Amino acid sequence: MIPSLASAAALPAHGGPGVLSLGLFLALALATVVSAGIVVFSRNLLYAGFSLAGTFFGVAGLFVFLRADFLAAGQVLVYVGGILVLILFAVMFSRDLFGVREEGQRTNRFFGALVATCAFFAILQAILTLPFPASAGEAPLLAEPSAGALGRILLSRYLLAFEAVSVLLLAVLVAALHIVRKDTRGKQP
Amino acid sequence: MNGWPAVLADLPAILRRGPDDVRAYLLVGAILFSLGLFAIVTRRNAVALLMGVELVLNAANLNFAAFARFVGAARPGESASIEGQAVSLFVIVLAAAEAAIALALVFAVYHQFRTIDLHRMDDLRN
Repeated sequence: MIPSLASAAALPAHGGPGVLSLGLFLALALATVVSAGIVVFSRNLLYAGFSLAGTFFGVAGLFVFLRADFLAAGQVLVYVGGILVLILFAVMFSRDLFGVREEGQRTNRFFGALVATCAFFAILQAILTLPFPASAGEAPLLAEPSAGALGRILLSRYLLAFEAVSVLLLAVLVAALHIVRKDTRGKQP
Repeated sequence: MNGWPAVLADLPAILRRGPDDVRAYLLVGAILFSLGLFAIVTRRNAVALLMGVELVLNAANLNFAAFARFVGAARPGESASIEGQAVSLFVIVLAAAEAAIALALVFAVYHQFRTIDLHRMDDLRN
């Protein structure tokens, strides 16, 4: 739905993006940034968690603009369906437990603002001054959805990393269960 | 080196070109990264800090995908590169693993200290 819309609207009108494409892109970018701001600045951790969903969906939409359809699907499945549900579970399960309500106070606000602002302006200057070979108007579309090409490269050039990640996931599964298990050894007679 | 006014003069052009300019994606990534960094430094709640980490990882993913699309496409005789997307995929998997372990640690720490305020869990033994 959105991919066809974006590519249909991206028909080149004298080199620039179409109005629909541009508007959709700016709206997505704005939604991403605003919801990320809510994540960071909200006093209520539950609002922050739900707003994180907006950020994840926004980034998925930007992936669609980047012709990374498999990444967009994976972003929605893994981040929204997995990580976000995990975080929201932790927040909602623990709201009374952890005293999330009075979590408004922060630590070293000044130092954090200084570090974040310095990092942002350093990156901004790099973005604005470095010459990027970025005229994408004539960039060719991939001839096929990116899933096929991703599968081929994962099972050829990145095969070792792929296997290592699968072993890592198994280790993470076991380790997470081991960390949260009830310690019954001391209670044995 | 340009002064800041000259540097900022490029911003309207970037916004006007929107999805056809790699710098628009990099800009969104930079904002996400800075917000995540701010959350990591200032939040006292461990779960909120984890949200900041996710923001930073998303910013990195966005940059990988953007460079895969634009820089790979600019190479002569080659279609858009897929390698950046592959790396981005690994980042997503590692983020999932990291979230699982981090939340397990949060629960274990709560079990030990009865709090997840990062400033109050500062003793090795109680």
